[in-house]
Amino acid sequence: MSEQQFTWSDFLELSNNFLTELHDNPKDALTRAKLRTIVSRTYYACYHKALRLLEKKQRFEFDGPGYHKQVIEAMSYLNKDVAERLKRLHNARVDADYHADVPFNLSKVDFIVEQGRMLYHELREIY
Amino acid sequence: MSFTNVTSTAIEDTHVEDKQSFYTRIWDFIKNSFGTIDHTGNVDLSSTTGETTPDRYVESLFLNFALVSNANEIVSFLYENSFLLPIVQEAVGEVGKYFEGVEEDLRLRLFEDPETGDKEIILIVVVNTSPDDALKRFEALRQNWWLEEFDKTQWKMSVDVDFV
Repeated sequence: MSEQQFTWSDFLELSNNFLTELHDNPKDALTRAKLRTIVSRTYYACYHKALRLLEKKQRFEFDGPGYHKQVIEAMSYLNKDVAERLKRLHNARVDADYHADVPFNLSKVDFIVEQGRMLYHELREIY
Repeated sequence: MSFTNVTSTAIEDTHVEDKQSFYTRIWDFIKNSFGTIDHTGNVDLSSTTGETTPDRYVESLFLNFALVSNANEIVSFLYENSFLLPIVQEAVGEVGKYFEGVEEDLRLRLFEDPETGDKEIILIVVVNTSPDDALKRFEALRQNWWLEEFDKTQWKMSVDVDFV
């Protein structure tokens, strides 16, 4: 069996699969961890797509700390709508990865993932 | 070549006295008006019985938000970034237009990114509707109001949705 090469959009597919599983079984023992993983991976799919877009356009060089912030701010020059979506998705990912006191429920993650899908689609259109 | 920040559009600042007076006045207003402050500094602003008359921006700000987390930190942040006050104030009306009938709470949260130390205010609309419905309403809010205001926030404010 040949191995398919990993692409960042695989994270979106993974998120969708996890979300479907959780809708089918909301009392999954790892629900809270899965919800955070879904949010985090959804963001990274979009982040890497945005980064590739900016590198392809060869208009920006990134250096130093705060790489994610640099990508978002650079994107604001190309498309403000996309930059704003990416920023909110980034905030959600920071909450998922760093703020254990911030709750995630299925509705909230559905909302976040759908926005991630919309964002990824828009990035593809720009690309 | 390094990335350089966008030059923000001109922002009309509100007049704010010295920090300590501002802080004291707002904190007293919160305590006198609502009286319920737990040990974490969280304040339940769901009732409005205060007699104090603060600055007009802050008055409408705190009268319209059902819950403010880490109130003292939010007040401090808004003092340092008082250009955000009119945007937060305007947000109340705009959110009401697009989330009529499904809006449960409006919250202000001070968000910090541990990777960069950056802080921002997040205005959170808590809703009692489906994610699909919330998304349609939120997109309308974004396209008709928020995206234009976003330019003025210097990356120090967001608007988002949460679910009961």
